Amino acid sequence: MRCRDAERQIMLTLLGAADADALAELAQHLRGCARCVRRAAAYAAVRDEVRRMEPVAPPEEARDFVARAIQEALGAGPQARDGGRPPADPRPERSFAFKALVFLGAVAALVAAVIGMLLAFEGKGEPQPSMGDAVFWTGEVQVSTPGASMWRELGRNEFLPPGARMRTGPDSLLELRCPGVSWRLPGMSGIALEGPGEAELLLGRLHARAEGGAGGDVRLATSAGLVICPEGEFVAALSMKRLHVGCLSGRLSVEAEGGPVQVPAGHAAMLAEGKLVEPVRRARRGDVAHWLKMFDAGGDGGLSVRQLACVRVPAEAPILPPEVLIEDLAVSVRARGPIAVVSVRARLANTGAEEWRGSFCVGHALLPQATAQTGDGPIVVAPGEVLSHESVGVCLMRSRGGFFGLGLNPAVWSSESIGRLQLSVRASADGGIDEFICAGAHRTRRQRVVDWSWDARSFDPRQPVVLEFAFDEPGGVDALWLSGERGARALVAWRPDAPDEEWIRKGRNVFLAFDAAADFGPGGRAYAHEVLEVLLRALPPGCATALLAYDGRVKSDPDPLARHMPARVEAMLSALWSLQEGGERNARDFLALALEWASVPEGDGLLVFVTGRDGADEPVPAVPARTDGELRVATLQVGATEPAAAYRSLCSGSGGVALALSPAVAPELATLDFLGNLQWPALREVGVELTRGRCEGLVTGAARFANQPVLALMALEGRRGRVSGRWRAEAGGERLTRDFDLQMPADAEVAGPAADALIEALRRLCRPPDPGEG
Amino acid sequence: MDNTPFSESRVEASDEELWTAFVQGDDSALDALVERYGDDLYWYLLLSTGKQDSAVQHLRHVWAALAAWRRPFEGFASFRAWLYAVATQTCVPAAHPEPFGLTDLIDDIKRGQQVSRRSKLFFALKDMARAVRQPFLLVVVAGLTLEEAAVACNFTVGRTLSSLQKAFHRLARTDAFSGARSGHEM
Repeated sequence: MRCRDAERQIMLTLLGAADADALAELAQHLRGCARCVRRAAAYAAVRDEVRRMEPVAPPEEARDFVARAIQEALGAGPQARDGGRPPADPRPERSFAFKALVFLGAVAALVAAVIGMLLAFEGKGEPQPSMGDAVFWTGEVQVSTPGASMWRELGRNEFLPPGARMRTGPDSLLELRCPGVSWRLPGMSGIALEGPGEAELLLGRLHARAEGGAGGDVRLATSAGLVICPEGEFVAALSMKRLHVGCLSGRLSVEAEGGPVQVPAGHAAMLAEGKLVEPVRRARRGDVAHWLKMFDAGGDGGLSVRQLACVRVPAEAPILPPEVLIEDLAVSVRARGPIAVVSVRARLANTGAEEWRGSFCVGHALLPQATAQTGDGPIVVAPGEVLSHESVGVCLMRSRGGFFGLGLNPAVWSSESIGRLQLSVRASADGGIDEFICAGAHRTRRQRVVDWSWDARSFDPRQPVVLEFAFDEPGGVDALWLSGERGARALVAWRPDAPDEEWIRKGRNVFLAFDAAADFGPGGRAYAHEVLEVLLRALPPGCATALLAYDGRVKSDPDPLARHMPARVEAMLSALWSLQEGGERNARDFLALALEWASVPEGDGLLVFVTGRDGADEPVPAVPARTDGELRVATLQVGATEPAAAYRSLCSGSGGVALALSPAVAPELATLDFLGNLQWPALREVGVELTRGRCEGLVTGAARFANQPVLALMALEGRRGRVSGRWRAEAGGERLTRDFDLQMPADAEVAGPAADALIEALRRLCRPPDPGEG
Repeated sequence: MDNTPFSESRVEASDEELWTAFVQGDDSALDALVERYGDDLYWYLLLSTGKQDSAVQHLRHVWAALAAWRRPFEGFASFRAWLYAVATQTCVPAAHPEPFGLTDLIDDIKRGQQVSRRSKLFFALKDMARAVRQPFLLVVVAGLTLEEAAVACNFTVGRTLSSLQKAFHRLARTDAFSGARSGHEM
């Protein structure tokens, strides 16, 4: 048997279509041919891998589509059916003569096309210009140029002729700079560059910034309609043949039936088949914030580093004016487990004529969020003054499975100029990150960093640098030592290896109760709507949802516990926006009503109670006991700095979470935190029993921090010390414990006045210890 | 359409028996077939088109075509072979050139270590010509025999074999199997 025959035989064998004689012959061949043995192994891997791909179930609405289509077909009557052709033809392909005819026709067309192209080139005499440059991308990004049928990976200095198409894979990001416009694509999107300032959105989403000026209008074509933007920023999303356009700044128009329609800044429009689906309306932030793809809670609930890299700087971030220069800027991180101390040193020089007043915030609204921070007061730089500023903060990193993410956002510091930026991340041998230095993109080394969002070739100061790193020991106890003037402290975190659980999935009931009469603080009411909108859009279609709202009068959903789907989201959002403002506050009674309302149906349920910063002073009602399912309660307090103790108790008792949401945090991130936290089974009765040392406070992460199960602050007396004891928690009925004995290293990780200030900040953060702890 | 749960006998009935029942006027037999093949057929169409909404549209189209036909299927060895032949010939004909298309968002794609590999495999399948991909999917994913796949694609058995060989060869050489890391090094 020759190798060529063997290859075919291998394939047939793998598909179970080989006969016994051929098998014997193949076996004989394989004994003497290593190449075919390798081929057999490779083909078997292909077959197994493809068969192992977990099938994707059709969306819930597909069932209805199919049922309707069948009904229509059945209702068409026998006359309509009888005349039809069979839906499938068992006859093999066309005859050779037909093919030959087609082939000859194709050859003739090809010759004509070549002649036409030659004539065209002769007329122009110059090569095609590039339509732009891909300046930044992460993950799987592919390109296909005209004349090439295959997709290939996007390369450096890629020449992009007119008609070049690009597509992004999952967790990818692509930024294209073209004359007069820059296009940004998140994952699973596609674009075709048609000409200067012209592109077609093929699929997914994009963000565009039109520079205006002599470059002319930016034109974005889609299958649903045309967008024309002379100047400004806009986002566009194409899904199910609908185009959703949001104008962030400047102005744009959409070509709709009956002529162009203007979409002013801050407004949104939706088109389908070249027609406006609804009148142009004021945009909610959910319309324009397309950067985060919300994963359903059935995944791990966290953001990948590449998605995090898509997070834009919030508009309220302190951007320095051009007159204030950053002469030097160094950001360093000491990390241990999920805890990190971020230090920032900056030297500012004000060359302008006016005093600049601002503040730097470690981590700002992006990752990691600072839990305790010093140096966060206002910074004042007088004209002609050079100022050195230092700040330090404790951050909690986001976890994603066994990984942790650390985000550093240089964009907070300035608009374009970032000075002499130095990023440095270190941890000792016990920590997750060994070293990551970014000093002018020259020197980097990574060991436990498993993923990152940063590209040395095209550093963009507007994007955060996000690292993801791993630890060896799941469920371990990590300690970060602070040594100050008044003694040493250990900041200790425990990450219990608790089982994950999907909380929102098919068959679950999600009840939304919106306390619209609550006090949300400045800008909080609109933010609460945004959070609800993002949450509604993030819920999987497999669950059922119901809405109860209170604006002085209780309004209940006319179609409670209907299947969650886009049409339902729109209906619920319309109901939310029709609520009145200024109703009489009555959070406690409304919560009691919501609990009663959510306890009636059978099966497991989740009540999401969205309220403001007030109303938690009085005792809250208890979750009604049920035997036919479990009701978990989650509270979102918009505008509060931390969740009220009463809500925290209510939620943890039911296995839910209590979160305080600040309008400074992007609603997408807030919602993701919420969904991510829901994945953790209730860590009830979290505590610590110390045999050495004293516990100053205990903070359970699920109640406050993104994906962090437990954080405790413990204080030791004396400059050198040791802390030992046992963590204990109950998760989903399972008792979890962890013994630990931690010795302060010879060189304290963070020392000096900064450590003292941090200790004070952390002390403020922590609630008083329970009597039984320590 | 009858939404009552299927009886034991219905669950045990063969595809062909159900189709015969449907031809004789029992609409619920078609529901049973939809229930039996809905998810598998959708997965086949999703891998064939790479687009979620296209797959749903095609799924709808296939079942509507079957409902409208309501006669015995002829020339096919089994209902399963006929069903996939309808899906292939009316929705993703192997003999037609590939129109431009992009992989749509797959909502429940799992992240983690498997994602990159899975998405690469997904792209690799999507990027193959139809004439190569469809026989491969029919045999490897849908579980049709070589002969059934050939009939479904309107191919000869020889051409089907050749397509399968190309598909195996190409997939074995993709990144998804060579283990190469994508993205950009620091």
